[in-house]
Amino acid sequence: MDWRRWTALEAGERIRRGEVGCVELTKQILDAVDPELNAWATLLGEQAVAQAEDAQKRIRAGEDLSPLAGVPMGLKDNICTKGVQTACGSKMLEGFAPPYSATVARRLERAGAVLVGKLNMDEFAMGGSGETSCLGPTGNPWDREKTPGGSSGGCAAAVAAGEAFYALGSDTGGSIRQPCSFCGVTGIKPTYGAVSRYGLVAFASSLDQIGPVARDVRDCAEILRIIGGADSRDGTSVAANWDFAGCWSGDVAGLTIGLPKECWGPELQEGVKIRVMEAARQLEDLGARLTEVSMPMLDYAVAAYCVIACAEASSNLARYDGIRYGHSAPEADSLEDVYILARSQGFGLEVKGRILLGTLVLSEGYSDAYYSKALQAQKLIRREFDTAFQNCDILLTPCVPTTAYALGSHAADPLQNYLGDRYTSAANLAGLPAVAAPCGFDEGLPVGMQLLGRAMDEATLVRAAHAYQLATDHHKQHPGEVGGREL
Amino acid sequence: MTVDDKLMERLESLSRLKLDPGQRRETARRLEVVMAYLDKLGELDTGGATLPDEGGVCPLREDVAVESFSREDMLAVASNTEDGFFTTPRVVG
Repeated sequence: MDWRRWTALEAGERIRRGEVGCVELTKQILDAVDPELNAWATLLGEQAVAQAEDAQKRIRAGEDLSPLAGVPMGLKDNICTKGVQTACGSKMLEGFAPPYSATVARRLERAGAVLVGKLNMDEFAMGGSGETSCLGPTGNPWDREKTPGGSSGGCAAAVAAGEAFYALGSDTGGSIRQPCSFCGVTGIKPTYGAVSRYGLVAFASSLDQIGPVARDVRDCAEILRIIGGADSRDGTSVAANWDFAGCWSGDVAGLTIGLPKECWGPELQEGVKIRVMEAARQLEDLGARLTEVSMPMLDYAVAAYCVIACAEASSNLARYDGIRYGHSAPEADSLEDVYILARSQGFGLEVKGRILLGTLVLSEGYSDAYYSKALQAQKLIRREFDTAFQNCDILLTPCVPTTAYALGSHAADPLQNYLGDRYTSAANLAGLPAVAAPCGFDEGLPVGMQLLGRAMDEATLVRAAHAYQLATDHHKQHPGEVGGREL
Repeated sequence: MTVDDKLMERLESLSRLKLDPGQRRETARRLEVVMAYLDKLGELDTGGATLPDEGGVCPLREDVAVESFSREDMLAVASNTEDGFFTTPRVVG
């Protein structure tokens, strides 16, 4: 059985039909994990097998679970799991086993999911290459010397390599979409509030969202259906009454797709530009109408994102005080030293830099010029999306300006990581949903396109992405076939 | 913007961080690069845009008492506890 090519829904269907057992599939996944890829922070081994046995019993008993019951998956290591280490790629949380599970983890558990383990990530989700993890970088399954992207690099690499059928990541400025683009898998950053963040370790609370990473958009929609919706434990969450029933016909007739003219400049790798434009033409061939839109404020998205995200991070990460949980410094002999030593020893340099940057833009003498200005830019970006959506139903852009770059190649230039979010961070600033989906290859590496939609209109994005995936096979390509490790 | 030692010391103090000399030098360099880029926000004509107020209304719920975590569970993840409390070095004489 070529189970590595199955989508999560296909795996679930085969489990229900009795063609494969949950335990068998979970063991195969565990055996398939390649430590060299370094996609996992924690593997649950026997605990995952026990959960698979339980899922199998529930399915046999005819319990009404979900189409993904019994399917092995992973969670990014910033999503709290009761009794299972949740370390966020940081020495600060090494050994931290939360006393509770995130709402998304509980909802998946209730739906019969099998948690294989926790996935490697940039430290506290700060980074776009996976290299800031204290566990070391994850490789890209298409080329081990390249980054899988970040911060949900472990999620995308594991799904691409066949080490998980799907995963949940988090996206603050592109952290689901960029790694999906680099690894040739599909992901969704949902509308702000559509998925509970209770139990997500906070980075920038006004921007963070949890979302799915999977082999195709149909899987992503099913995962959203399970994890989405209001949660009394997250005051920012809202009801998500998505109706995906009309999304599967492959029909995009009547859909108007806007192409922001600001997204095709010299910063865009030529091969990426060609593939994304081909995707636009493909959608046009399928019945959509293409129209050019102008969104000059997109040029300010990275700067506004950088200021707001770091400002919120500096505040959110103040909770790591060396007292209540996380790393502590036993040698501290004053309360001040308890704070300073724990934080200085526990955080990596990237995290420290972002805390300091956030502190700077919030401090007296700088906050008007940077933080207030960034909030104003955010408002103008939101208005610009509103205007654009008066003329189109969804927007299509490249996901990332380049394909995956060499590990270490951006280490000296702090701007490069931020500029990788050039096309993705605006969706976080505006709170809008966005899909990243594979649309071809450039020199053997995956290229991703991004579809952006109106708030809570994930269904239109899913409809368009699914029509595209029905008509193409880019999302079905496997690293073993295009130059990656032979499976 | 020049990020000198004085500014770094102030930021470290506010952030409860202490960087070694090598980290401080590298971080100051990186901050200068990023801040130079962020200066583009200053070129933006915001036309007097007021701060964001378009996020909708935050839904409120009734304040209902529900079972929460046990003290033992919360203290179990702390490094230093005693008699059901977190402990720190002495803060008063």
